[in-house]
Amino acid sequence: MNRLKKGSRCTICKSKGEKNKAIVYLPHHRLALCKEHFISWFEKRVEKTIKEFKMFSKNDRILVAVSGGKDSLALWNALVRLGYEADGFYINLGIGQYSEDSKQLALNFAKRIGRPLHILDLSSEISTIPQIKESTNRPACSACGMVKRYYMNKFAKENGYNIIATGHNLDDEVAVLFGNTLKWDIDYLKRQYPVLKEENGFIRKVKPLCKITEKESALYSFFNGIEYIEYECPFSEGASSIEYKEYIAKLEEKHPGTKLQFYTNFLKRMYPILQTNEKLKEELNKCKICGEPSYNEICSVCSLKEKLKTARV
Amino acid sequence: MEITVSYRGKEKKLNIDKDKITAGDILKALDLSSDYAFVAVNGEVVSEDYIIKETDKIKVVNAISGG
Repeated sequence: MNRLKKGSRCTICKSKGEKNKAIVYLPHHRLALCKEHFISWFEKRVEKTIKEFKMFSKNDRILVAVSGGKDSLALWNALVRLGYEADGFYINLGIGQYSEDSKQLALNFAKRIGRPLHILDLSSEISTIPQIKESTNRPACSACGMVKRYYMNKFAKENGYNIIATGHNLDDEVAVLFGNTLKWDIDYLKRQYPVLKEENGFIRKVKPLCKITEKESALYSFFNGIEYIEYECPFSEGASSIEYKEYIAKLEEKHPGTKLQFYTNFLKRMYPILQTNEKLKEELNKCKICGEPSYNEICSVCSLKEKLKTARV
Repeated sequence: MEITVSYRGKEKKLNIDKDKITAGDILKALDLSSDYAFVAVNGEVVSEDYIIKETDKIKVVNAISGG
Protein backbone atom coordinates (compact mmCIF):
# COMPACT_ATOMS: atom_id res chain seq x y z
CA MET A 1 0.00 0.00 0.00
CA ASN A 2 1.43 3.38 -1.04
CA ARG A 3 -1.62 5.46 -0.30
CA LEU A 4 -4.09 5.76 2.53
CA LYS A 5 -7.26 3.76 1.88
CA LYS A 6 -10.64 4.90 3.14
CA GLY A 7 -11.40 3.24 6.47
CA SER A 8 -7.73 2.49 7.43
CA ARG A 9 -7.11 2.44 11.16
CA CYS A 10 -4.26 4.16 13.03
CA THR A 11 -1.38 1.68 13.53
CA ILE A 12 -0.62 2.92 17.06
CA CYS A 13 -4.27 3.03 18.15
CA LYS A 14 -4.71 -0.52 16.81
CA SER A 15 -1.78 -1.76 18.91
CA LYS A 16 -3.52 -0.29 21.98
CA GLY A 17 -6.81 -1.93 21.15
CA GLU A 18 -8.40 1.35 20.03
CA LYS A 19 -10.04 1.92 16.68
CA ASN A 20 -9.27 5.51 15.59
CA LYS A 21 -9.33 6.27 11.88
CA ALA A 22 -5.96 6.96 10.23
CA ILE A 23 -5.76 10.19 8.23
CA VAL A 24 -2.09 10.07 7.28
CA TYR A 25 -0.09 7.27 5.68
CA LEU A 26 3.70 7.37 5.70
CA PRO A 27 4.74 4.79 3.08
CA HIS A 28 8.48 4.95 3.91
CA HIS A 29 7.73 4.09 7.55
CA ARG A 30 4.72 1.86 6.75
CA LEU A 31 2.68 3.79 9.30
CA ALA A 32 -0.97 4.82 9.14
CA LEU A 33 -1.66 7.42 11.83
CA CYS A 34 -4.49 9.45 13.34
CA LYS A 35 -3.96 13.18 13.92
CA GLU A 36 -2.87 12.85 17.60
CA HIS A 37 -0.42 10.03 16.92
CA PHE A 38 1.01 11.82 13.88
CA ILE A 39 1.77 14.88 16.03
CA SER A 40 3.45 12.80 18.73
CA TRP A 41 5.32 10.72 16.10
CA PHE A 42 6.64 13.95 14.52
CA GLU A 43 7.84 15.41 17.81
CA LYS A 44 9.47 12.14 18.88
CA ARG A 45 11.29 11.95 15.55
CA VAL A 46 12.59 15.51 15.96
CA GLU A 47 13.73 14.71 19.52
CA LYS A 48 15.43 11.51 18.34
CA THR A 49 17.27 13.41 15.57
CA ILE A 50 18.44 16.06 18.08
CA LYS A 51 19.86 13.29 20.28
CA GLU A 52 21.29 11.16 17.43
CA PHE A 53 23.41 14.05 16.16
CA LYS A 54 24.02 15.54 19.63
CA MET A 55 22.62 18.86 18.40
CA PHE A 56 21.85 20.56 21.73
CA SER A 57 20.41 20.06 25.19
CA LYS A 58 17.86 21.76 27.42
CA ASN A 59 20.67 23.99 28.79
CA ASP A 60 21.35 25.63 25.43
CA ARG A 61 19.92 28.91 24.16
CA ILE A 62 18.53 28.26 20.71
CA LEU A 63 17.81 30.82 18.02
CA VAL A 64 15.39 29.49 15.40
CA ALA A 65 15.78 31.03 11.95
CA VAL A 66 12.16 31.89 11.14
CA SER A 67 11.05 32.68 7.61
CA GLY A 68 7.28 32.51 8.14
CA GLY A 69 7.19 29.25 6.16
CA LYS A 70 5.87 25.90 7.36
CA ASP A 71 9.24 24.34 8.21
CA SER A 72 10.65 27.05 10.46
CA LEU A 73 7.34 27.53 12.29
CA ALA A 74 6.82 23.75 12.67
CA LEU A 75 10.37 23.47 14.04
CA TRP A 76 9.87 26.34 16.49
CA ASN A 77 6.57 24.83 17.66
CA ALA A 78 8.08 21.36 18.13
CA LEU A 79 11.14 22.68 20.02
CA VAL A 80 9.01 24.70 22.43
CA ARG A 81 6.65 21.75 22.98
CA LEU A 82 9.66 19.49 23.64
CA GLY A 83 10.78 21.91 26.38
CA TYR A 84 13.73 23.64 24.69
CA GLU A 85 14.55 27.32 25.20
CA ALA A 86 14.01 28.50 21.64
CA ASP A 87 13.44 32.06 20.41
CA GLY A 88 12.82 33.22 16.86
CA PHE A 89 14.88 35.34 14.50
CA TYR A 90 13.31 36.84 11.39
CA ILE A 91 15.22 38.73 8.71
CA ASN A 92 13.12 41.21 6.74
CA LEU A 93 14.57 40.74 3.26
CA GLY A 94 12.54 43.58 1.77
CA ILE A 95 10.93 41.41 -0.92
CA GLY A 96 7.72 43.47 -1.22
CA GLN A 97 4.43 41.87 -0.18
CA TYR A 98 6.10 38.48 0.33
CA SER A 99 8.25 39.87 3.13
CA GLU A 100 5.35 41.84 4.63
CA ASP A 101 3.10 38.76 4.73
CA SER A 102 5.73 36.37 6.05
CA LYS A 103 6.80 38.83 8.77
CA GLN A 104 3.21 39.21 9.96
CA LEU A 105 2.74 35.42 10.08
CA ALA A 106 5.97 35.01 12.05
CA LEU A 107 4.86 37.73 14.50
CA ASN A 108 1.41 36.14 14.93
CA PHE A 109 3.00 32.77 15.64
CA ALA A 110 5.48 34.21 18.17
CA LYS A 111 2.56 35.80 20.02
CA ARG A 112 0.66 32.50 19.96
CA ILE A 113 3.49 30.49 21.53
CA GLY A 114 4.58 33.34 23.83
CA ARG A 115 8.24 33.43 22.75
CA PRO A 116 10.26 36.44 21.58
CA LEU A 117 10.81 37.01 17.87
CA HIS A 118 13.82 39.18 17.02
CA ILE A 119 13.53 41.07 13.74
CA LEU A 120 16.42 42.38 11.69
CA ASP A 121 15.80 44.72 8.78
CA LEU A 122 18.18 43.96 5.95
CA SER A 123 17.62 47.43 4.42
CA SER A 124 19.21 49.10 7.46
CA GLU A 125 22.16 46.65 7.54
CA ILE A 126 23.12 46.37 3.89
CA SER A 127 20.32 46.60 1.29
CA THR A 128 17.14 44.73 0.38
CA ILE A 129 17.44 41.55 -1.69
CA PRO A 130 15.84 43.14 -4.80
CA GLN A 131 18.34 46.05 -4.54
CA ILE A 132 21.29 43.65 -4.13
CA LYS A 133 20.12 41.64 -7.14
CA GLU A 134 19.77 44.75 -9.27
CA SER A 135 23.07 46.36 -8.28
CA THR A 136 25.31 43.30 -8.40
CA ASN A 137 23.76 40.96 -10.99
CA ARG A 138 24.24 38.22 -8.43
CA PRO A 139 21.40 35.61 -8.39
CA ALA A 140 18.95 36.64 -5.68
CA CYS A 141 18.90 33.21 -3.94
CA SER A 142 22.67 32.98 -3.58
CA ALA A 143 22.98 36.55 -2.19
CA CYS A 144 20.00 35.90 0.10
CA GLY A 145 21.48 32.70 1.54
CA MET A 146 24.83 34.37 2.10
CA VAL A 147 23.51 37.45 3.93
CA LYS A 148 21.08 35.37 5.99
CA ARG A 149 23.89 33.09 7.21
CA TYR A 150 26.07 36.10 8.05
CA TYR A 151 23.47 38.07 10.03
CA MET A 152 22.10 35.00 11.77
CA ASN A 153 25.55 34.11 13.06
CA LYS A 154 26.37 37.69 14.05
CA PHE A 155 23.05 38.27 15.80
CA ALA A 156 23.21 34.97 17.73
CA LYS A 157 26.72 35.74 19.02
CA GLU A 158 25.87 39.29 20.03
CA ASN A 159 22.73 38.19 21.88
CA GLY A 160 24.01 35.19 23.83
CA TYR A 161 22.55 32.34 21.77
CA ASN A 162 24.84 29.35 21.31
CA ILE A 163 22.76 27.38 18.77
CA ILE A 164 21.17 28.37 15.46
CA ALA A 165 18.42 25.98 14.35
CA THR A 166 17.11 26.06 10.79
CA GLY A 167 14.05 24.36 9.33
CA HIS A 168 15.81 22.49 6.50
CA ASN A 169 13.86 19.29 5.95
CA LEU A 170 14.71 15.92 4.38
CA ASP A 171 13.55 17.05 0.92
CA ASP A 172 15.74 20.17 1.11
CA GLU A 173 18.75 18.12 2.15
CA VAL A 174 18.12 15.46 -0.51
CA ALA A 175 17.70 18.10 -3.26
CA VAL A 176 20.98 19.78 -2.25
CA LEU A 177 22.78 16.44 -1.97
CA PHE A 178 21.45 15.43 -5.39
CA GLY A 179 22.60 18.72 -6.96
CA ASN A 180 26.03 18.55 -5.35
CA THR A 181 26.43 14.92 -6.40
CA LEU A 182 25.48 15.70 -10.01
CA LYS A 183 28.29 18.28 -10.00
CA TRP A 184 30.58 16.22 -7.71
CA ASP A 185 31.00 19.42 -5.74
CA ILE A 186 33.30 18.05 -3.03
CA ASP A 187 33.60 21.37 -1.18
CA TYR A 188 29.87 21.45 -0.58
CA LEU A 189 29.48 17.69 -0.05
CA LYS A 190 32.04 17.63 2.75
CA ARG A 191 30.05 20.29 4.62
CA GLN A 192 26.64 18.70 4.23
CA TYR A 193 25.90 17.48 7.73
CA PRO A 194 22.95 18.29 10.04
CA VAL A 195 25.35 19.79 12.59
CA LEU A 196 27.98 22.38 11.77
CA LYS A 197 30.15 22.66 14.84
CA GLU A 198 30.93 25.96 16.50
CA GLU A 199 34.45 27.08 15.53
CA ASN A 200 36.44 30.17 14.64
CA GLY A 201 33.63 32.64 15.25
CA PHE A 202 30.84 30.45 13.88
CA ILE A 203 27.97 29.46 16.16
CA ARG A 204 26.85 25.81 16.06
CA LYS A 205 24.21 25.35 13.35
CA VAL A 206 21.74 22.47 13.40
CA LYS A 207 18.93 21.04 11.27
CA PRO A 208 16.57 19.10 13.54
CA LEU A 209 14.06 18.45 10.69
CA CYS A 210 16.63 16.71 8.47
CA LYS A 211 14.74 13.41 8.75
CA ILE A 212 11.28 14.95 8.35
CA THR A 213 9.85 15.19 4.84
CA GLU A 214 8.37 18.38 3.47
CA LYS A 215 4.90 16.81 3.49
CA GLU A 216 5.25 15.70 7.11
CA SER A 217 6.22 19.24 8.04
CA ALA A 218 3.19 20.68 6.17
CA LEU A 219 0.89 18.11 7.84
CA TYR A 220 2.28 18.94 11.30
CA SER A 221 1.67 22.66 10.67
CA PHE A 222 -1.82 21.95 9.34
CA PHE A 223 -2.82 19.76 12.31
CA ASN A 224 -1.51 22.34 14.76
CA GLY A 225 -3.37 25.17 13.03
CA ILE A 226 -0.12 26.99 12.26
CA GLU A 227 -0.69 29.70 9.66
CA TYR A 228 2.31 30.02 7.39
CA ILE A 229 3.15 31.70 4.11
CA GLU A 230 1.69 29.42 1.45
CA TYR A 231 2.97 31.08 -1.68
CA GLU A 232 6.53 30.98 -2.90
CA CYS A 233 9.09 33.74 -2.72
CA PRO A 234 8.91 35.49 -6.16
CA PHE A 235 12.65 34.88 -6.63
CA SER A 236 12.41 31.11 -6.18
CA GLU A 237 10.45 30.63 -9.41
CA GLY A 238 12.25 28.10 -11.60
CA ALA A 239 14.70 27.21 -8.80
CA SER A 240 16.61 24.02 -9.56
CA SER A 241 15.87 22.72 -6.04
CA ILE A 242 12.14 22.62 -6.88
CA GLU A 243 12.87 20.77 -10.12
CA TYR A 244 15.05 18.22 -8.29
CA LYS A 245 12.36 17.72 -5.68
CA GLU A 246 9.80 16.91 -8.37
CA TYR A 247 12.09 14.35 -10.05
CA ILE A 248 12.93 12.74 -6.72
CA ALA A 249 9.22 12.62 -5.75
CA LYS A 250 8.59 10.44 -8.80
CA LEU A 251 11.25 7.99 -7.61
CA GLU A 252 9.90 8.10 -4.07
CA GLU A 253 6.36 7.33 -5.24
CA LYS A 254 7.57 4.16 -6.93
CA HIS A 255 10.14 3.24 -4.30
CA PRO A 256 9.18 4.61 -0.88
CA GLY A 257 12.19 5.23 1.33
CA THR A 258 14.55 6.29 -1.49
CA LYS A 259 15.01 9.84 -0.16
CA LEU A 260 15.69 8.82 3.40
CA GLN A 261 18.12 6.12 2.28
CA PHE A 262 19.99 8.43 -0.10
CA TYR A 263 20.49 10.99 2.66
CA THR A 264 21.16 8.77 5.69
CA ASN A 265 23.54 6.50 3.78
CA PHE A 266 25.45 9.55 2.57
CA LEU A 267 25.85 10.64 6.21
CA LYS A 268 26.88 7.15 7.32
CA ARG A 269 29.08 6.05 4.43
CA MET A 270 30.27 8.98 2.33
CA TYR A 271 30.52 11.91 4.73
CA PRO A 272 33.19 10.23 6.95
CA ILE A 273 35.34 9.45 3.88
CA LEU A 274 35.20 13.10 2.77
CA GLN A 275 36.40 14.24 6.21
CA THR A 276 39.61 12.19 6.01
CA ASN A 277 40.92 14.05 2.98
CA GLU A 278 43.46 16.53 4.37
CA LYS A 279 43.67 18.42 1.10
CA LEU A 280 40.08 19.47 1.56
CA LYS A 281 40.73 21.38 4.78
CA GLU A 282 40.66 25.14 4.40
CA GLU A 283 42.11 27.85 6.60
CA LEU A 284 39.54 30.11 8.24
CA ASN A 285 40.52 33.75 8.88
CA LYS A 286 38.84 36.83 10.29
CA CYS A 287 37.44 39.44 7.91
CA LYS A 288 39.69 42.52 7.90
CA ILE A 289 36.66 44.81 7.94
CA CYS A 290 34.03 43.32 10.29
CA GLY A 291 36.01 40.62 12.13
CA GLU A 292 33.52 37.88 11.28
CA PRO A 293 34.90 34.48 10.16
CA SER A 294 35.90 34.30 6.52
CA TYR A 295 37.92 32.12 4.15
CA ASN A 296 39.21 35.26 2.43
CA GLU A 297 40.77 38.48 3.73
CA ILE A 298 37.44 40.23 3.33
CA CYS A 299 34.23 38.28 3.98
CA SER A 300 31.59 37.93 1.28
CA VAL A 301 29.12 40.30 2.97
CA CYS A 302 31.71 43.10 3.31
CA SER A 303 32.81 42.64 -0.29
CA LEU A 304 29.14 42.74 -1.30
CA LYS A 305 28.78 46.01 0.64
CA GLU A 306 31.77 47.40 -1.28
CA LYS A 307 30.23 46.37 -4.60
CA LEU A 308 26.94 48.02 -3.63
CA LYS A 309 28.79 51.24 -2.76
CA THR A 310 30.52 51.24 -6.16
CA ALA A 311 27.25 50.50 -7.93
CA ARG A 312 25.60 53.49 -6.22
CA VAL A 313 28.39 55.93 -7.22
CA MET B 1 -17.72 19.37 -13.28
CA GLU B 2 -16.22 22.63 -12.08
CA ILE B 3 -14.92 22.94 -8.54
CA THR B 4 -13.15 25.70 -6.62
CA VAL B 5 -10.19 24.91 -4.43
CA SER B 6 -8.00 27.02 -2.20
CA TYR B 7 -4.41 26.60 -3.39
CA ARG B 8 -1.26 28.48 -2.34
CA GLY B 9 -3.37 31.16 -0.65
CA LYS B 10 -5.61 31.78 -3.70
CA GLU B 11 -8.92 30.46 -5.04
CA LYS B 12 -8.49 28.29 -8.12
CA LYS B 13 -11.19 26.88 -10.42
CA LEU B 14 -10.71 23.37 -11.81
CA ASN B 15 -12.63 21.70 -14.60
CA ILE B 16 -12.58 17.94 -14.20
CA ASP B 17 -14.45 15.85 -16.73
CA LYS B 18 -16.02 13.40 -14.28
CA ASP B 19 -19.29 13.06 -12.37
CA LYS B 20 -17.65 11.80 -9.21
CA ILE B 21 -14.45 13.62 -8.37
CA THR B 22 -12.04 12.22 -5.81
CA ALA B 23 -9.35 14.06 -3.83
CA GLY B 24 -6.82 12.15 -5.95
CA ASP B 25 -8.40 13.59 -9.14
CA ILE B 26 -7.81 17.09 -7.74
CA LEU B 27 -4.12 16.37 -7.14
CA LYS B 28 -3.87 14.97 -10.66
CA ALA B 29 -5.59 18.02 -12.17
CA LEU B 30 -3.03 20.25 -10.46
CA ASP B 31 -0.20 17.93 -11.54
CA LEU B 32 0.78 17.24 -7.93
CA SER B 33 2.19 14.07 -6.41
CA SER B 34 0.83 12.65 -3.16
CA ASP B 35 4.47 12.39 -2.10
CA TYR B 36 4.42 16.12 -1.36
CA ALA B 37 0.80 17.26 -1.55
CA PHE B 38 -2.49 16.55 0.20
CA VAL B 39 -6.13 17.59 0.16
CA ALA B 40 -8.12 18.84 3.15
CA VAL B 41 -11.90 18.96 3.06
CA ASN B 42 -13.78 21.12 5.58
CA GLY B 43 -10.60 21.40 7.65
CA GLU B 44 -9.80 17.66 7.73
CA VAL B 45 -7.14 15.80 5.72
CA VAL B 46 -8.80 13.22 3.45
CA SER B 47 -7.55 10.10 1.65
CA GLU B 48 -7.18 10.20 -2.14
CA ASP B 49 -10.25 8.03 -2.67
CA TYR B 50 -12.53 10.51 -0.85
CA ILE B 51 -15.41 11.58 -3.13
CA ILE B 52 -15.94 15.34 -3.19
CA LYS B 53 -19.42 16.66 -2.30
CA GLU B 54 -20.85 19.86 -3.74
CA THR B 55 -20.83 21.68 -0.42
CA ASP B 56 -17.24 20.69 0.50
CA LYS B 57 -14.69 23.41 1.24
CA ILE B 58 -11.52 22.16 -0.41
CA LYS B 59 -7.95 23.15 0.34
CA VAL B 60 -4.95 21.71 -1.48
CA VAL B 61 -1.58 21.87 0.24
CA ASN B 62 1.55 21.59 -1.87
CA ALA B 63 4.44 21.15 0.54
CA ILE B 64 7.23 21.73 -2.01
CA SER B 65 9.10 24.94 -1.52
CA GLY B 66 12.29 26.34 -2.93
CA GLY B 67 14.08 26.42 0.46
